[in-house]
Amino acid sequence: MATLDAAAVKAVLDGIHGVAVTDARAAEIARDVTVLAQGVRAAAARLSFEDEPQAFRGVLAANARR
Amino acid sequence: MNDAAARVEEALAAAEAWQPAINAFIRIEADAAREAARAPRPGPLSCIPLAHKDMYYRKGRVSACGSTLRRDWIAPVTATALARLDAAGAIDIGTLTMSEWAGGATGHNIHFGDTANPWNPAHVTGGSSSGSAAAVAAGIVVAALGSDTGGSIRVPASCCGIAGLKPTWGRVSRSGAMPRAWSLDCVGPLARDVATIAAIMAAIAGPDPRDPTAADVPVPDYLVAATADVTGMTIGIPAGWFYEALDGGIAALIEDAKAVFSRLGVHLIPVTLPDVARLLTLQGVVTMTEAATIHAAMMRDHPEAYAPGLFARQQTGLAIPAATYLEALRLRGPVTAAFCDAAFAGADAILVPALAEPVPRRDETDAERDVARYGPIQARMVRNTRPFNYTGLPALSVPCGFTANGLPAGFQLAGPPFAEAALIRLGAAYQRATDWHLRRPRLPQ
Repeated sequence: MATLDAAAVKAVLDGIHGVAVTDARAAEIARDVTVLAQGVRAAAARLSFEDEPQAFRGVLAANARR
Repeated sequence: MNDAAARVEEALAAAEAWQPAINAFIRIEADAAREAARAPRPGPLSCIPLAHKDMYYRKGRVSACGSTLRRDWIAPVTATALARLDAAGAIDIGTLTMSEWAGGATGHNIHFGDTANPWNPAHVTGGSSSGSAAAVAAGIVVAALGSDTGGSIRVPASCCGIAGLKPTWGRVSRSGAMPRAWSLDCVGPLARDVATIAAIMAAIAGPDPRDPTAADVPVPDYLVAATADVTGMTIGIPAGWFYEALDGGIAALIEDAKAVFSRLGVHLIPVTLPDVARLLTLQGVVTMTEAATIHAAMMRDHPEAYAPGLFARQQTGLAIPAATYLEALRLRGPVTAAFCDAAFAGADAILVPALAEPVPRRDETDAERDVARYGPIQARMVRNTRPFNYTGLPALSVPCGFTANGLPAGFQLAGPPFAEAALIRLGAAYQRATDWHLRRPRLPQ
């Protein structure tokens, strides 16, 4: 599987956000973000089409003890 | 001198005496506190001196938020939590140190100096509510507000031998509190005893038109909960993540705590939780993305104003794809529902260690300028607290003894959404049966 690379990270941080980043740090970020994104992707397999972020507050209310 | 003035003078004297050793205060506001003590202050917290993390805004006062960028920033509003404590009669005696932008878990701060643990200043207080924990542990104030996005109330509470409650997300208004990560931030109290936690919660909990995420859920009587019997309640003991990588000394203290609950008539049952490690990934994605978004403009314009470790951490957040962030938020509902089903189907709460290892030394965890070490050190401190931020569940840290290095340790009681009263009930009962919360550090000579 292809992963995020340092050049892509540098383009996002430097080019889009205007936040300076060294090549070495960009490489570290690329590795870290790839691991995080893969972890979220694996977890997201359980999502249904209709799941949305705002539903979280309803879950808290529904799981409160009466 | 009236009673209020006497209390204020006692707190101010303690603050001045401890400050050189522990650096708990950013500002001691003696004149304002003395002025407040002169007027009648009726209410359930009448004339009780308090102080709070320097990220709760008070109109016209500086809130530095642990950053040199806000060293002279004057707040335009007063936080709802502070206004409610004022209305309850409390007296604010100053602002307390914190990790830079509430982003660190040890209590180091390169801008305002590290906060030191009152039990042994060579050790960390934990963070990010470092000054809140230190001031309460030293006995300067009986309670202080902290904030908790990944463990920032419970970690310092445990490190300093006091109690700390991260309420359910939405239980307490965030209006006028510095944001770290909107989806996870919680306002909550630290105090020596759980009964005082209950008193503070009674004052600050509840809906707020100034914070649309503050839940419109009835607030139970926390003070009654703090005196209630616990016979017949049930605590779940989860296998796996929370008890892995656990220091032997802490494991023994946790076993002792379980035995106390058994003697109190609480049933202990095993529970099996879903993949807890995955919660850390999800919490990390949400925290880093939201914090980076909040800070992007300042990181662009003033990169030199951040500790390198924190800056690097927030750089990572800027590179997380939007779809990954939104997937982490979409997962929050189903993951929390599954967690509640597994943890609380047959239990009122679960009991887990607050920290997995003894409170570390300040020098061995001083990594604010060390990008490579910063992340792993933070992760060690909050490995057992972050899951309850992602799931939004309430969690109470309670002191339960001391490890071989002479520093405190604690356990967490976590419950279903809005079950703060049950946690207070259990924590207060534990404290009636033990005396860990009554022990006080000595002022270093």
